[in-house]
Amino acid sequence: MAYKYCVAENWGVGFITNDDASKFQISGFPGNLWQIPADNRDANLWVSKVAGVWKTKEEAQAIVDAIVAQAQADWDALPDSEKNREPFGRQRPTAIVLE
Amino acid sequence: MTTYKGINGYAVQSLASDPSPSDEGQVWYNNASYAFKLAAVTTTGTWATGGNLNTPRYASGAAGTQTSALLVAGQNSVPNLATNAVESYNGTSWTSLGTSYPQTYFQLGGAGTQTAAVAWCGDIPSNYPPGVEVLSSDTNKWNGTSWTASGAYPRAQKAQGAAGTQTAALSAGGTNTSPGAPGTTTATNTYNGTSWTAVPGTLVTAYTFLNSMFGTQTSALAITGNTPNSVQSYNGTTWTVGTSMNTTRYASAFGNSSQSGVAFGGPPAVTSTEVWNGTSWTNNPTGLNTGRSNAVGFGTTSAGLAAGASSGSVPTDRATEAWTGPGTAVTKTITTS
Repeated sequence: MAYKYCVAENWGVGFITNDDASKFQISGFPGNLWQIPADNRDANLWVSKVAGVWKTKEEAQAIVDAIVAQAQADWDALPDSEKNREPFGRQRPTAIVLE
Repeated sequence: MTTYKGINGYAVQSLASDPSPSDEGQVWYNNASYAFKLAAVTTTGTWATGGNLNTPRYASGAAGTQTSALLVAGQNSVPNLATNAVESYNGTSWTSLGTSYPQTYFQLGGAGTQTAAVAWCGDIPSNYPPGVEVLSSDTNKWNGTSWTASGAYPRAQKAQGAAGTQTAALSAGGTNTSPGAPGTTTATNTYNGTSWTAVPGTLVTAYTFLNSMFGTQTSALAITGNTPNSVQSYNGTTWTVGTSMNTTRYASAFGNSSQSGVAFGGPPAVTSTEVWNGTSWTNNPTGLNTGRSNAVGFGTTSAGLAAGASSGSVPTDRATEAWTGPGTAVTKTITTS
């Protein structure tokens, strides 16, 4: 499936409604980045509703990469004893590759 | 020509606001939003965005429902810093309460309602030498206004499963991994509003359960633990091994009892959601809008809430998501294309 990307700040209730979620898949990523299906009327209407700013895939990937890099640096700075105190399953942040 | 009036015996009503309750199949025109609306019943679950937290955190204590929740303390950044902030939720927005939790803990247990809750145990932030965990056995009760110290938990620990009410809470498992400490436990304890009592029925396997147990003191389900998709079920007397989830992950959960619940998310940024009906886990067609782990779950299989989470890339997240389960009455907007 082909996707499009936009940046929009999640204001809370009403940003994504149950109606939106039932009509098309919205996937959120770090940096207020949202992935929606390309060529989908309902998805395009949603981007208008949330005043989303369109991003190319390359721009979107750069946004995510910057945040992941900072999170990895924060994690790497932790002593091992602190990493072990993290909740089960929580590990070093991993790279996100957008589809 | 077939008409709505011909079928139903009355015309489409023009209303200033959506009727509540409405009948399945009912159609009306909302003259405030200029839209035709339809009363429907969901066949699958969906996640919508909920109100944003004031203090981002994960691994918190939790009590309440989708529209009346209480979030207590938690972990709020890397490295292991914590917050003692308490927030309440009304279904729309979170409010920071003036009264903080008595201690700054994370990975604590919580049960009850927004105005009658209990929280216990937890890990204290890292102002200590590396390798030393300072864990708590404290129990505190919340009456909607203030916290009161109550009977201590049998041992200092963190990451125990939590379920029930302020006067009938259930706590299972948990860990204390400090040097020389007893480690992870199978112990199960009940709380009566005053003190904790160890019960004979212990977990099948000693696990930690962080925000992944739900139900009541006599009917609970504990999922994931130290093994990603494991399930243990409690009937008020004994624990048994339950049916594994479909997706292997360290999920969070909420639900009604050992017979009904929802599992969602998991590290690093899992979105998948499964519904438990007492017999089997069903993959919901759509998952969380944003993958999240170590979230706190509130509510029931028909109306839940996920709050306080981390993802693999963002240590803490202010965003929350509200779950509407299958079989729930909803209002849909009729559109044309």
